[in-house]
Amino acid sequence: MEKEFTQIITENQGIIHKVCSVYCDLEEDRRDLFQEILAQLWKSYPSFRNESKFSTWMYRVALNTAITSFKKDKRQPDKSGISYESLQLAEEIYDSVEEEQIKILNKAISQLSGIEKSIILLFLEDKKYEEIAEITGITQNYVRVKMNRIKKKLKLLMNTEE
Amino acid sequence: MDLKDLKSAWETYSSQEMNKHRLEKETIQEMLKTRTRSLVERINQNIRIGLTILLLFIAYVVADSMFLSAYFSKVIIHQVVEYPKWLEPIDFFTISLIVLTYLFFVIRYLKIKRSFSIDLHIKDLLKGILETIQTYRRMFYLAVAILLLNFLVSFITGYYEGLKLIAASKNTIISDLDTFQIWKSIGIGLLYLVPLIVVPFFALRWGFNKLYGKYLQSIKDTLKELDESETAE
Repeated sequence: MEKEFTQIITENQGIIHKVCSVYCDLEEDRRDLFQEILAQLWKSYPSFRNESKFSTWMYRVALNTAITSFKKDKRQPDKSGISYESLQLAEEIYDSVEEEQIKILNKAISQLSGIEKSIILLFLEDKKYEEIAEITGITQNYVRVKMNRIKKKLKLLMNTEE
Repeated sequence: MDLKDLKSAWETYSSQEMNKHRLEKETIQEMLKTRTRSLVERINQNIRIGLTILLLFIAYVVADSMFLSAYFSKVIIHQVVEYPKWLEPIDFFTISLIVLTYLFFVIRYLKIKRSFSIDLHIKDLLKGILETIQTYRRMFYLAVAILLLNFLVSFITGYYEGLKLIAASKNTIISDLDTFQIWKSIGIGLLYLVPLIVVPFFALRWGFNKLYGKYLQSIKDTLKELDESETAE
């Protein structure tokens, strides 16, 4: 089972990286969260019964772990947004417009609550409301209401940044 | 920046991040070998340790009440101390209460643990975590309560025996002793007893809040956020 699990995780590791980049500002936190998500996926893998898509189940475990993860006081993420490493990466790779957009996006996302982060991540990943509802276990109506609020909040945050 | 630009910015950013952090199969295999436990798993382990300690302590309290005290008094002072009959129902009530509370606690804990899984829907998961932490907190209080009851029963017994000894040394009976002196000694006894109970209670409460207070609050806030949005649907 371990081989099968490692294979499937290697193929789908992007999901964990995306969750980590939304929930963590510091590289150290990111590594810890990745490890914790991986451990939780492994522990609950035997209970995965193919009732939903593997990616749906994986998103759910990863997001649940991120939302409920315990951060020690000294490593509470600062609210300034994008990490130093990400900024460096942005400088290296993106042109100035993209870099600016990514900075704004990261800063805006970092100011959202845990639940809001999970919804916006799934929205950015082009998931339909139905699938967002299935992953998070909240109703489609609630996702819609919440999404509208997040959009307003992001617009406000991004306009402030610009 | 328009919201529609968000997606393209995110796409670029996430694919670059993915390339930067991509792990090989072997690295993932290595990571799996490292034991990682979440906070809830650590709390669950602490609860199990706590329950074992409490069980041992309860066994000691029961054994003490049934035969240990009598045995040691026989060995140490070479006489069997006769406890007053009115103390027996109190003793029985105390032990029954401790055992029943413990059993209730264990059943409740097992019920929560059985229904808990990381792949639950977020609201159920948060409720499960909240219940686990609250169960942990209750276990602390249960431990303090057991100590309190045990102290109280020991205090009453010891006090009664002390009075009997004083009365015997004066060739009289307890009811003939100076009432003021009796109340004074009760007061002094309580002065010793109260800090013994209050200090550990507040120390435990402080320690618990220091460790889990912020986390507990963040779980409650997230649940509140989910409830508020549901009512706003």
